[in-house]
Amino acid sequence: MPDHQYHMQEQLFTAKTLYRELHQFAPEKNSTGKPVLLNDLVQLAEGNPQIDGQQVMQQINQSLPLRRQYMQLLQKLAFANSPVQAAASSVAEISSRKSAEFELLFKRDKQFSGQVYVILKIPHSIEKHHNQGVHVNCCSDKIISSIHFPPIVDGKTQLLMEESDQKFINMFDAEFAIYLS
Amino acid sequence: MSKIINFGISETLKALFAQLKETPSQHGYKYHAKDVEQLSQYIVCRNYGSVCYELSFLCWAVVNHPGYSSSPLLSFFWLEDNLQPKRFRQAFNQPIQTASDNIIMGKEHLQLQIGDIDFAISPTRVSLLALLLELITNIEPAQLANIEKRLLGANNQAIKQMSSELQKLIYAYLKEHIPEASTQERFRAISGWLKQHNLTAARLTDQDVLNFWLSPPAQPSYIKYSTVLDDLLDAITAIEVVENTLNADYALSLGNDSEQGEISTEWVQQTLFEQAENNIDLGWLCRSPKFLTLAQFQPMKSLLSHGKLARQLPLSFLRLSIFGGWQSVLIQAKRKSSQELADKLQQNPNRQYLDYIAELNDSESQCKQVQQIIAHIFYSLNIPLFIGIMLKQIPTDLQQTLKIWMREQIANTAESERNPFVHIQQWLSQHPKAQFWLTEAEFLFKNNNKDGFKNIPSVPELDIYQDGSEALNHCQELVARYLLVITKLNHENTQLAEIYRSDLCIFSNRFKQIYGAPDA
Repeated sequence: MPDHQYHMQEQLFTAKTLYRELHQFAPEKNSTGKPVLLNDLVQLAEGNPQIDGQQVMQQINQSLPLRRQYMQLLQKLAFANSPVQAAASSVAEISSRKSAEFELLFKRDKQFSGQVYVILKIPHSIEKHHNQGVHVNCCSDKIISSIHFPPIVDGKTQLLMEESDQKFINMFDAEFAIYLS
Repeated sequence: MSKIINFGISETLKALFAQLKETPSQHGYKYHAKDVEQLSQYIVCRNYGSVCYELSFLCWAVVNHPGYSSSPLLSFFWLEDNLQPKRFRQAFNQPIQTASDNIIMGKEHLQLQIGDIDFAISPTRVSLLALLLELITNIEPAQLANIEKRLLGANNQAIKQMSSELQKLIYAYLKEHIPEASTQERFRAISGWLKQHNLTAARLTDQDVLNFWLSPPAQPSYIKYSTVLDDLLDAITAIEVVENTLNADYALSLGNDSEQGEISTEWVQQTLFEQAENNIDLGWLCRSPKFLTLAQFQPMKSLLSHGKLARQLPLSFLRLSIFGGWQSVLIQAKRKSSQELADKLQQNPNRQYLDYIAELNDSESQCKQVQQIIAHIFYSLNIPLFIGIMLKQIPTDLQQTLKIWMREQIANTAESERNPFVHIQQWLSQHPKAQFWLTEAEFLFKNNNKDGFKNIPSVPELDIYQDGSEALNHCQELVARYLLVITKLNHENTQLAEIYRSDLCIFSNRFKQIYGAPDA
């Protein structure tokens, strides 16, 4: 048989076999081997509930390229931000963060020690914030965390958190930049 | 001995394609499963040159769209999600003109004029091209910024260069993730074996398939029955197709390429995926809208994949379902512990051939039922397309009456100028059996709570229902023809049970050889 004919047959076989294998794959749910697409990052940043936020965030925090990509996205998408507060000492805890568009502050619960009320004020909020709430994304060089606040009512919203919660600590750490989405 | 043969595609690439199907949008999935399958066809056939070229032109149009001040590609394809033809047209509804270039949305295509080059992009291709861009971005995230930088104000030479860079990127990636040596080895082994036994597609029998599995060639190691069946049939089909092609003097059209020993990747893709009578992947039927559940689709999957050969080799597919299934259980058990494996090896499979036949019967009637439900959807929206489905499902005498009536309608132009739907309703009112069929369709629709069937969809969403109806009809016919062969085989109602008993012995012995006989 001429070589050429054999190669044509081989190529058809190869393509069909590969196609079959490519689609036989049944991905394991919640597996960390699941790749994160740019679209997954976009959906996460936009607060799409169909994304497993916790898992994707974990993958973002394990990969520098993903973190960079996600930071760029947040910068692009943010409704408002508060940059890293360079002048502040990293030891000193700040009790509020302010920008032209929002204010973030907390109060300790008098009855239950260790619990804090985090209050987010957005005087000129957009419609999405009234329906879907607000995502507060805290970004440092090494880690990104995200907290979802309930919908804005009368220009504000609040969340009860544990004082020891790392997400709470990040929000009021001067070395973290904040992006609201 | 029990080493499973090494598959060609990396887990990373498989996971990537799985995720391309799964990644969400605000409503459902971002990419259509059919587009993902088509992209994978370009990839496995290595026929991605022209799509990269097309994508480069599309990116050029987006990058040079004055509506985007920063990150145009991100904004256009991800944030604004301009993938659907309607949205795409909308995004380019204003003509864009610069000193040397023009972008105009025409009736059919987006027309690009770049210097002295014209290029047209169909809005229906955009979702596929966007998917390719998602793939490229996953391979190398920095490409997005690179494409934007390189194509801003670029001439057609730069676009071509961009396209060739994207091709190189994909080529290098695939080199890492699709080592072809293993599939080539498999083809060599099988084609050698077929030649040695003087077998062609027309001559292959169930016994040959079994013989191959029982004493396969030395290399590569063939252990799994399902792999044996798929590889054997894929190889024999490939051989047959090429012979037919060459006999039909089609070789002429392969022209110069064949002289140089190069094979057109376009030809590979067309032969495998566009001209093939068998639809190899209808998995989208189980997505959204959910025409079938996975349990209803699964029994038909391998039959669909091998088309007419399934009818030629009826027993091989019974064996695949029952003993192939048993082997998967054994492989799972082997991973857990040797005790578990020994236990599973002692137990007989929990299904027999007749159980598989029953599953197929169920799938077939589901296919029929869901088509009837789709007919109800069309009917409720006053769309005459429901007749096509009804025609196939009503009693023969009524079919004839309907056909004659339709012929009269077509012949009588004056009549057909009136609203065709009103006309059909008049016909229906005279035929209680057809009315009953439609009432039944409505009842079935109301009892179907699957995704996409809870409410009557809107007219723009109907394309997928029409595709679904065609695909279901294809499945139904294929299964019916297969079942007919089985019925002939089992004409005294005892043959299948006998064959099963004998097969149980054969497979059980072979599995004991492969996975180690427990000390009895």
